[in-house]
Amino acid sequence: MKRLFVVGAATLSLSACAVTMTAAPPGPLQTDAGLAVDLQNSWTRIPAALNGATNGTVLTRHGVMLDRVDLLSIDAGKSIIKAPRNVDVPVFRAGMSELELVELVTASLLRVGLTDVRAENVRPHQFLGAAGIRFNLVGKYSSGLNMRGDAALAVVNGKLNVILFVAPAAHYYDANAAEIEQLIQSARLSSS
Amino acid sequence: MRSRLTSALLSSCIAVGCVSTDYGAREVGQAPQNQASIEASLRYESDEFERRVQRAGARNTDPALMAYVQRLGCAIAGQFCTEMRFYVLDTPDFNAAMAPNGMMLINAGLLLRLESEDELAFVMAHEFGHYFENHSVERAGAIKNASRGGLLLTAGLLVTGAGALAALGYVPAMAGAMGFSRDQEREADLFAARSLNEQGYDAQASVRTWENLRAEIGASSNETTRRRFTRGSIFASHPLTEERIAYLREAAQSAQHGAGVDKAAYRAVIRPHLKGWLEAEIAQRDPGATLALLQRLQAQNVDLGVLEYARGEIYRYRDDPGDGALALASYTRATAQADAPVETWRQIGVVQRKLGDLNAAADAFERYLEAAPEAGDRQLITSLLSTLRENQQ
Repeated sequence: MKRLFVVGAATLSLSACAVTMTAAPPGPLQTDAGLAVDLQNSWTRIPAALNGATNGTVLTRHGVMLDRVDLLSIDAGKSIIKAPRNVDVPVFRAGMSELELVELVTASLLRVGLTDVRAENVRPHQFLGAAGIRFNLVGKYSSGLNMRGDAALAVVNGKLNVILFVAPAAHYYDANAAEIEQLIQSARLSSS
Repeated sequence: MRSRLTSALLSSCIAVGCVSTDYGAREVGQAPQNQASIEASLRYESDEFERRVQRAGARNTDPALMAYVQRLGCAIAGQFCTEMRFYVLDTPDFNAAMAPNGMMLINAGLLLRLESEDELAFVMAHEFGHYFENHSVERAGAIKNASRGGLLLTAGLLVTGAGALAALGYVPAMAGAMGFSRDQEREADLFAARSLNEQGYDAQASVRTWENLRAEIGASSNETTRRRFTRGSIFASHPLTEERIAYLREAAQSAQHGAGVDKAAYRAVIRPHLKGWLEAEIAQRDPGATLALLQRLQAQNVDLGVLEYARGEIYRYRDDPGDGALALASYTRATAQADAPVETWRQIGVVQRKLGDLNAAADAFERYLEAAPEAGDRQLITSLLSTLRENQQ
């Protein structure tokens, strides 16, 4: 029994080490879901397994409350945000219109505690080789800080792919805006 | 769970001989004499938390709404008015909370569900009752006694009334400070019923509130919500709804009926926020509960443009078979009203496009762009419209 406990503890210990935050150096980066982008600067990568808020990979330079990029590939019936069991949250459905996809993002942000969230400058955008959408976001963090953001999304092969950047309007949005633009432009899907 | 915890606390206290935790009723201007006391600690934590509330993104700062809440709160608090601060948070949970430093939090989800001033008066009197009866300090004292008895308590066990705090970033210590036992909730209920009787409000208001909420929860699309009511909400610690309705009905029997029952006057107060608060409800994705709420709100036969728009939004996102037609019918009814949100035309375009009536979709998008030339989605709608018109040719 004691031996079993030791083996179990060792296994848990090993498995805990398997998923960690890692450095994401300048250059190409690929998520487990197959979304690839090019980074100009060094970022910290938070894998999906350690991301408690959304169902994707997160990149941050100064901490998730200061700059946060979510790289998401969502199957139909799944949500952008994570939720406790038996709690209903906005979900992606096949056949959603462009405007409903925008609303999916804003409603999801409302559900994680942001307020006054609005999509602005919503426009058609060729993204991942498909007819996608780009838009800017404004809102407020729960702390009352003004938030700004950028989003690009497209449905490809039945999956909703989203790049979502949010940051405080003061300093951090502008400080990252150029790189985020380049990151979105570089986005592509990888078969591996 | 909570009653078991209370029993454990009491047993523990009996075993070790606890200090009494009955602090009695509050006096005007009461302040902690000993800065190392539980009361002083709770005050300090509450003051810290209130600073966060003041900056919170969810804080509603509408002067008219706040003046209304302040006036009503002061009427209830009487000579304690100068010690009270009232805040409305634009969060959808049905909840309110009271801190031991005089800070009262009221969620928009609660204001949205109440129908008249006497119902709000009951909720605010209930929260003030916690303050007047020193419930936070008493509960903290009971917890401290339990710790002496060897019970390991964490803040996680004390999570009650946390819904009101969710939008502010959850603070376990404050959830403890603002959470009350079931007996305290009952005491606050009865305090509120007496308060309403004394002020000439209809004390049956409390019964109506709970009956309405019971009906809404019964209509929820979420089985867990129907079964256990809302986790982390006001129900976690409060007396069961049936029990509550029964004793409140009894307490209200001697009420002086009349004051504060004007539903139209109350709706006028919350009207400027109706659309925004409903959108927050819709983001909760509980179509059954929200449709039940809308049906009740529509009974007054006012605000039909906003309410039918909201109804259309629920059918549109629910997307069950036939929901497209139901959404379209709701949106169409909304457009016959002067208060229909301009987005109604855009949503008609979205639904008509899905239903395959491309001409009607294009017409609706055009109406939307005419009515909202500065819309944030103008570029996308223009593009969709162009494609639709090309397909017609």
